[in-house]
Amino acid sequence: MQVRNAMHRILIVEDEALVAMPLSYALEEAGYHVAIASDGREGLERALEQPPDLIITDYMMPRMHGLEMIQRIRKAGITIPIILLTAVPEGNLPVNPGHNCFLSKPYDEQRLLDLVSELLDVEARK
Amino acid sequence: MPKERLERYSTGTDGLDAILQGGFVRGSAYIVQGPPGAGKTILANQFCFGHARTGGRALYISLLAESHHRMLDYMRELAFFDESVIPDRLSYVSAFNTLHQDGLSGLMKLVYAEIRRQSATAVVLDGVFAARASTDTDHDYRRFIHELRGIANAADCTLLLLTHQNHDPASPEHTMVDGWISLQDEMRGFMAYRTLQVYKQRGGSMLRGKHSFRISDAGLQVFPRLETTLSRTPRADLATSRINSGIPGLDLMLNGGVPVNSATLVMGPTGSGKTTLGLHFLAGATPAEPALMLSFYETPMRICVKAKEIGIDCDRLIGTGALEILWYPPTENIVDEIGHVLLEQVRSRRVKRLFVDGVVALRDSLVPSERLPGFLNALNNHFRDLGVTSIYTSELRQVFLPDKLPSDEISAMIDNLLVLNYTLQDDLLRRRLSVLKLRDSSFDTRSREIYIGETGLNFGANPKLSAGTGASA
Repeated sequence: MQVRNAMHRILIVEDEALVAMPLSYALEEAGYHVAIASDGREGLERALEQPPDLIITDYMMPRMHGLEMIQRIRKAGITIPIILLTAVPEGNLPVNPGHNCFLSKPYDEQRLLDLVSELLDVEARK
Repeated sequence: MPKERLERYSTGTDGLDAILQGGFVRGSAYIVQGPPGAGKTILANQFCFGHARTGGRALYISLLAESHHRMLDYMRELAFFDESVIPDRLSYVSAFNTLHQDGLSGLMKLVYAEIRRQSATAVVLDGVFAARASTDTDHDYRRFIHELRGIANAADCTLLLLTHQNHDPASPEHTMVDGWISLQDEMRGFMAYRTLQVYKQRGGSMLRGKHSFRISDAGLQVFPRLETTLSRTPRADLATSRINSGIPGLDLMLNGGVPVNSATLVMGPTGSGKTTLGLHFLAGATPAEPALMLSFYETPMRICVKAKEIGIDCDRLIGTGALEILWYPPTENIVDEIGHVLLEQVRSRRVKRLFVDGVVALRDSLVPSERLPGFLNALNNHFRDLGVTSIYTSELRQVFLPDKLPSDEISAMIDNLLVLNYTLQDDLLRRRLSVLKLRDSSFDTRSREIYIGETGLNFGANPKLSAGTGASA
């Protein structure tokens, strides 16, 4: 079993409170420090100001879509793992703009937590 | 110079397009109100998906604390759902946080920015009552609605505002928007039924009053009240030619047959021969001039069996396309839906003969039941315009000829009236047929004895009874 580093900071970028809050609780229960941005523009600002260890982002959001945010984060040279969590079918997405994983809503909480753990472990070994 | 017509977007529902005389006016703002579960979300999504599929760009903004993926899971079950338009042509965002953090002004800026950013041509704002609840003053809320409408107009973007609040007609919100649609769930006894009413549509007329609608896997289907769909152009006159009834003796009584394009009501007690008369009428159908039957009390299979017993091969008629039988059990029907299905069948199959067995079943499903004369009048006028000759049946409680016929207001709507009744003679029940009315034509005024035998309805005395066997046909 992987020992989770309680200092790992995760940024959730999600406009829907009903998704962001339970997701936040689950991650905090698992020992992560969580911040929430409610749209892509806020998410970009936070990521550029102080890059987290991992981002979980929605796609369809006001002010800036998740994919545009991801593209801009990558363009800024930030290589942290990003999980795209969305109700948009994966087949409808453009060619990979830079996220590491795709997860469909509604998500399985344990699957998400396992994914977060795997991605952070991989990143830690780099 | 011809007046420029306002461009309209389909609502995604044919019936609602008809009520709005074409659909939502481009660049206009509409309030869609109704209690929770009334169908606002489905109507709005159905509009968005249709709009996106036909080249528009729709944006669904929610002010509610509910997740889009859950809403999309529900919509996925409905026929109009099309995954391919998400997110490029139909996008869902939440403004719940914006409203709570930044108030109405923040929300207004977000709506404006999103319309521009996504080049939206249609926007749904779901949960407008939350905007109202976020401010203490009516003035701020009215200004918000007013500015929203201004944004929509300026961006040439059609806006739907969904709310569960039932405002009265004089409320500021409704004077500020271009259209106002109300969805309601109503009760009649234990029966629930859904109604839609358009109270206002600036820039165009609409079909006024309540209209029925249904929510099913097909989405939201609206059935305009048939009386409102009647064209105001003069209807076709009754033709002078005749169509055979399938019963030679009856054709003689009618001076050559049933007048073409007319509506005939056959009244009589149970077992008197109403359905048999109708089956004879249907038997005259051909693939080139097909027939349609609407049955409430008997299934198509049962009707075919009954017809076979009197020598009419309904299965063959159906197989060749000369006959179609529609069956609506007399439960909680939407009568306007039945009317629209009948008209659609008549148009698509070019039906010439129509037999409706059981007008009472229509009345029992109508809300209110007093609509029946107007409904039948509208239906018959449509059929007349489409060149259909129709026969309806209605049951009389009285076995013997009554002094006064019920449903006087119905008979006034009908062109021709036949009555079947029993008489008691020598301890034997005998059947009789009378013509009480034949619009604009003379007819045999005698009451004629009939019997139902192996070949169906025949004129004269029943030979089996005449032979003194006492056995009925």
